[in-house]
Amino acid sequence: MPSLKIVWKLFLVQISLILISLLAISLYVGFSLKGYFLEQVVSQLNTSAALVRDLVKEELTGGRKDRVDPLVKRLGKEIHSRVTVMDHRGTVQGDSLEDPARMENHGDRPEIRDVLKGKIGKSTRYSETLDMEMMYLALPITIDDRITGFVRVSLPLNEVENRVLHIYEVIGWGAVVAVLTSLILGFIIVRRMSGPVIQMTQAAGKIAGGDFSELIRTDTTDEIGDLARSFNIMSLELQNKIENLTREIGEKEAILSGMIEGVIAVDRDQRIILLNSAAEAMFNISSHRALGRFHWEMIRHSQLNTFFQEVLDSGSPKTKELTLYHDGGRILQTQAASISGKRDTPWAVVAVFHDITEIRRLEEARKEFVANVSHELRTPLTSIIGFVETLRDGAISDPEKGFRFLNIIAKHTERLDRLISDLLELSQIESGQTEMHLACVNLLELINRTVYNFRETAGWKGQTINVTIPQGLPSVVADEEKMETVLVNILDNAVKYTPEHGEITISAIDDNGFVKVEISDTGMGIPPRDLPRIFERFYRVDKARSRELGGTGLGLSIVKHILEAHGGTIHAESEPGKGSKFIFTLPKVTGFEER
Amino acid sequence: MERQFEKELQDLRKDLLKMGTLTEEAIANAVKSMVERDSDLARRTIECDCNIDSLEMDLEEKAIKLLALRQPMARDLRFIIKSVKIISCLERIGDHAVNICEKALELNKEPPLKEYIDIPRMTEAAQMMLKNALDAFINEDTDLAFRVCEDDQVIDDLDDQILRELLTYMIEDPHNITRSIRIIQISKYLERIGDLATNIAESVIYMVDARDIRHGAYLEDASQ
Repeated sequence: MPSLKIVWKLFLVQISLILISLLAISLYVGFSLKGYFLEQVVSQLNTSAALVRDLVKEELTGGRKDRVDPLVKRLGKEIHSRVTVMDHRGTVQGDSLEDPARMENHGDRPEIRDVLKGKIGKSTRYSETLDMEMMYLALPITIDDRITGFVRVSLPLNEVENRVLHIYEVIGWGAVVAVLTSLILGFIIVRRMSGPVIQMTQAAGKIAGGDFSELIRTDTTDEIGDLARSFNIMSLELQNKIENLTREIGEKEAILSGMIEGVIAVDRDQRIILLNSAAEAMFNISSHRALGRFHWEMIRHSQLNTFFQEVLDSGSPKTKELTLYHDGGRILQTQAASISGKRDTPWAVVAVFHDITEIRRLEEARKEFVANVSHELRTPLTSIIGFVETLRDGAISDPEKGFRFLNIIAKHTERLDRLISDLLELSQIESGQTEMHLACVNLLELINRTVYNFRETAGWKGQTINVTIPQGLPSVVADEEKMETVLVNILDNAVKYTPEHGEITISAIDDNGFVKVEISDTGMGIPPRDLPRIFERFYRVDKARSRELGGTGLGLSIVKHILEAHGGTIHAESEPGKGSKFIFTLPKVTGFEER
Repeated sequence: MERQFEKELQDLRKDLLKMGTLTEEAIANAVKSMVERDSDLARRTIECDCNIDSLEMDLEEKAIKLLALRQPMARDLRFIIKSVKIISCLERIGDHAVNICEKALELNKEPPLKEYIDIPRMTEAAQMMLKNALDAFINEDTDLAFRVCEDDQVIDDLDDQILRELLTYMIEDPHNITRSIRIIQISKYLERIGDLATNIAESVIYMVDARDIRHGAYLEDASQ
């Protein structure tokens, strides 16, 4: 019990103080009283002895020695003391308590010897005759300066002892009462003092553990009460502060983790002190492992590592474009600034990483698009110009050649026309200008019809086209004409890029509010690097081959835009050498519209 | 005194990782220059190799100084000794990256033989092995190091596959032979990189556990 410690300490001090003071008092009182009583006894004995001397003097000197003893016995009774009378040789002539004849010579008693030496004969000693501590006082009986005898008066000292003892007893009881009172009072005071202290100790422990609910109840107005009240105020303040801090940290963390940009902070020792979730994903590290580690351990990128060092050394903000080596080489626009402490030396660097891969890719795509359009338009035009020139230069006069050239020119014009109409269609769908004639479309019918048109071309290459669509497939809301374009484009690619005796499979399922159509082939496939880009305009996996096969390079782009305009999606999966799979979804007709 | 030593060890670690990072980047760039036919990148990568070489010399000297002046014991001793070994492995990997770049420069002068399918896969595997070996070194993670040793088989298989595939090209048309041989050489370099990454992983295991698993000792170890 921790409370007892302080209680016992206080008690010990109190009790020892009480005991020491009482001891001092009792010793002083005891000694002084004893002295006083003894003086009293001495003066009383003196008076009695003087009186007895006068009374006995005559009898003793008068020779009537036999009358001495009865007189002494009477006087002894009167003054409540023992009286002894001796002659000058010390022989006892009368004693108030004993028979003088049986008493020995008293001449060698110290008080008698003192008297003989001319001093006051006084002695305190144990009387064997009476079996008690006695005080003896002797006076000489003198006649003409000659000692003829002695009178000795004695009183038992046990009276004095008793009185002193009684005083000690009173003081003793007083001490007991004082100790008890101080014990009780002390206990009460300590209880009142230590109660709040114990409470405060417990509350402080709870506060350290994060529980601010406990307040200390106190009704005293002394320092302990003040302390308890201050403690309560402190606890409340602390709670507010901690709540504010927690909220602030929470807000900051929410902001940081909500950021698309990666944020990494590195301290002077190059250890990572902050890492948000976007940065975790960018660099493929987890914050619980990375925090507190060196950045050059966790992110191995020489440019980034030196970049951090540069910013730390220079203290000025810097910007840099970094290309990552994993994850398809994402490009990060990095801005870093140092955080300066009080003494202007930067103690940390915060870097913000902005993923600009997509922006760069779009820029690249735009550049490529312009280049591609020019190139795509130019190829047929060059042929047309060439053949027209040849015709003009004389070939026109040769009907056979002329006809062949015109055919070629017509073919290239068709291609130009196709290209331009594809481009127009694409730009119309993209800008949302095309009118969509939405209706319920039965996909099974549409697919069967489209496939029918391909059977012939596929047949030439010995390819088989399988359609596995369940009868109860729900209809979709779509523009039938546009959906046909989608199917034609995908199937056209499938037939083109699948070698002879290949297989093309079309399947569709009802997938949770959507109809999911899969068109897979056993063709050459698409390298994974190109997969995300095949829906871009003019993007060609194999540049030479695709043009040879007569594509405009816009087909899949148109497909994607049509499907997106319908609220659907498309993506492709492929394994090079094994085949590709195009999966698109369309929203299905809900019950109401079907009726 | 003790803290100074700690700091020196830390410096060694830091520079070793810096070297590892440069090597990783060199491989990535080398293969990229080949797959994307980027001769500029190949030339830049070859130039960068001198950084790796100078780091090797620098680090070796540091390690020797540490050994001579501090006379380290037990784990620290193993760390320094194996660092020297890892450094030379990394330097060799850097050289192989340069070799790949050189072959890429030659290949880029001619039309492409075929679409690269297995080479990027192999590079990925080799890079992953080196990455894991270095990660194992940083985190003193022997499990990861063991995995690196096991992964070596993947690269060996891919190497065989590339050889078989290119043989068919060579049989088809003798004009393909020069290019095919260059690609086969690149594949060999990648295979060597995988082996060196395995060596690094073995060094890490020795460094952490004081167990030597080289030359088949691992098999006995695993069967126990």
